[in-house]
Amino acid sequence: MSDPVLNIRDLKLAFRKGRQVTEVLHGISLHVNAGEKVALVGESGSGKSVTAQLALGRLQQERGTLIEGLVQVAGIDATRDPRALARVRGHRVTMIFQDPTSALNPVFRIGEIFAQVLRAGGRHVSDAEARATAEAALAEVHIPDPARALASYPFQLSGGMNQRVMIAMALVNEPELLLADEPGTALDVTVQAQTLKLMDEMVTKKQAAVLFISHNLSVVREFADRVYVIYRGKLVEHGRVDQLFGNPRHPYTRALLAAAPKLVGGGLPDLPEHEPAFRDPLIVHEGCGEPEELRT
Amino acid sequence: MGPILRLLTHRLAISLLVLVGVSMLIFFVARVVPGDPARIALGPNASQEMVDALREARHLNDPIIVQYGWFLRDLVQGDLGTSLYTRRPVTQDIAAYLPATLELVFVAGALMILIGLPLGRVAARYSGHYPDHLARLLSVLAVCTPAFVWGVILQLLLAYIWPVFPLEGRLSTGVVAPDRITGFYTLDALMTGQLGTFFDALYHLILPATALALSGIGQTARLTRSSMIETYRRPYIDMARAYGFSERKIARRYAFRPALIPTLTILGLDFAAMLANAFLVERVFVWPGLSRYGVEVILRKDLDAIVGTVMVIAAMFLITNLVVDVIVSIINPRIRLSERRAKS
Repeated sequence: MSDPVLNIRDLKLAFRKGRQVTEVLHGISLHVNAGEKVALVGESGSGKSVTAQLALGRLQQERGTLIEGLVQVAGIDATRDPRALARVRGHRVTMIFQDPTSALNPVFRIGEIFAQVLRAGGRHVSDAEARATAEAALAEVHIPDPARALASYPFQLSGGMNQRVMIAMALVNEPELLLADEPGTALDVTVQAQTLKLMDEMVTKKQAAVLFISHNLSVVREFADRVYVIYRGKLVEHGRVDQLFGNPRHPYTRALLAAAPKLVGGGLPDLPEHEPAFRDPLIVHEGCGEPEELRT
Repeated sequence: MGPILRLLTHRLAISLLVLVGVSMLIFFVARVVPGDPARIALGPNASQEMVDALREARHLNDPIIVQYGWFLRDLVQGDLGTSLYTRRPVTQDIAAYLPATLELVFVAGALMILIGLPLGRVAARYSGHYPDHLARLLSVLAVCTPAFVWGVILQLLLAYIWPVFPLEGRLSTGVVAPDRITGFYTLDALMTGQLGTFFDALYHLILPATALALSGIGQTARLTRSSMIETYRRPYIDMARAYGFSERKIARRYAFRPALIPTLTILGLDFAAMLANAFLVERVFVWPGLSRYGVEVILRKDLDAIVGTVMVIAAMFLITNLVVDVIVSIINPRIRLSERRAKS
């Protein structure tokens, strides 16, 4: 088996502000194999987004960030060599955001942004090549008039269209790993569902691995192969989708599942009665143990 | 009609209205202020008959509203009256003094853009670090010291103690002014191929332009900094970084262009304000400009010249704002395209 494209071992992350140190990740381990779709699920503040930020190498260079453990992305040690990681951002590792419209610069045409994405990692691409590639990529995500979309500004397109553009940008350089941080949560539910289906289709086609970060279990169920459940900076349960949904074992996972149908305002119980459960070791479903060779 | 052209005609019409309003305001205010312009012009030794004759000749005994009527009649013929101080037509005075001020203000404006914007950009990029602190200190210092103080300081340091720059005037003694084409000595010298005169004129511009520009440079730097820092927090900058856009490219283009939009509007106002504020710097550097002329005529209650000067400065304000609006609408597609949408 080839090396996983994302390999996180015993990762601890803390932020220091003045003398106060707040630990937000308490030693998590997860991996994403090539071409695999893995979800990381938890409520806001559980540490799921910072995990993506770390995988992208965005936190390492900031002051007051304390990192311990291993983050390996596409074979690069992201904690020790953030510069090397910076060179692969945008082509070997890419990202899709919550709100596609605000993630696209409002004063540049889609075509200009696209050309810049194609030039990620310092590759030389002529304007004509960039236009042709971008048009083909937009056609692939079923945008009706690619040339016109490229000549438009982000605010002239709908949120759904922008999300398609974002998906096209994320996959045009054939990345090994795509980080999707709550993709499309800013869109309305039907459009979000459509674009997620499209994303699923596209990553399968491009054979990209995905780390899908979400708080929404029903979305994850459709999309992912494996699921990690994170709670307060600790992984609590890990299994294949069918295992986790068929037989949720951790009280937090059950609470998440119970809360799922209430789309808005449901919220999660604070679970004080289950508190001791979080000191338990991670529940790993059968066949989902960490591969022996990854343990370091 | 293109959207920019539409914006232009619309704004021009409004500007014209504003100009009429300004003319009325200054016309009446100048006349309400106590003091007899004829007496001031003729001096304390002139006889009452002479003063009365001058008042009659200038229609000063008519009701103000009638006087305004005379003014409008002359105005449509391109006549702004005659100065009691220089005894020349006001239009001629303005034509003589305006280019000197404009040349000064343009160079100062260029300094504001060329130094203020990059300074703010560097401060934003290294926000909280050493270059930022330095840039902020310099900006605050530049903003809180008035232009004429800068003028005196610069003169003292760079023209007197360490005389690398000329002390005053537009040209060195012995250098003949180039033939008048635009009235800008630098441009005229270039157009007539007199390189020596060009450098001499430029050399004379540096100190007064710097003195005039410093507070604008400081303000531009501060505005650019805060606007850039605000832009750096936007999701599209996260996106740019996630996609490996270089920090340099982000600072120069990707974050800079959206950040420029709010800065530009203020920059335009600053630039226009320099026109009116130049008088102290013109005083310090003995610069024969319009602002200095304006102060002289106000002190002498030279009615026609006051109205003429104020209207020219107001017109410059309006033109600057118009130019800024056009530039902003070019940079900001939201404005440009909403204009188009409004039409269809």
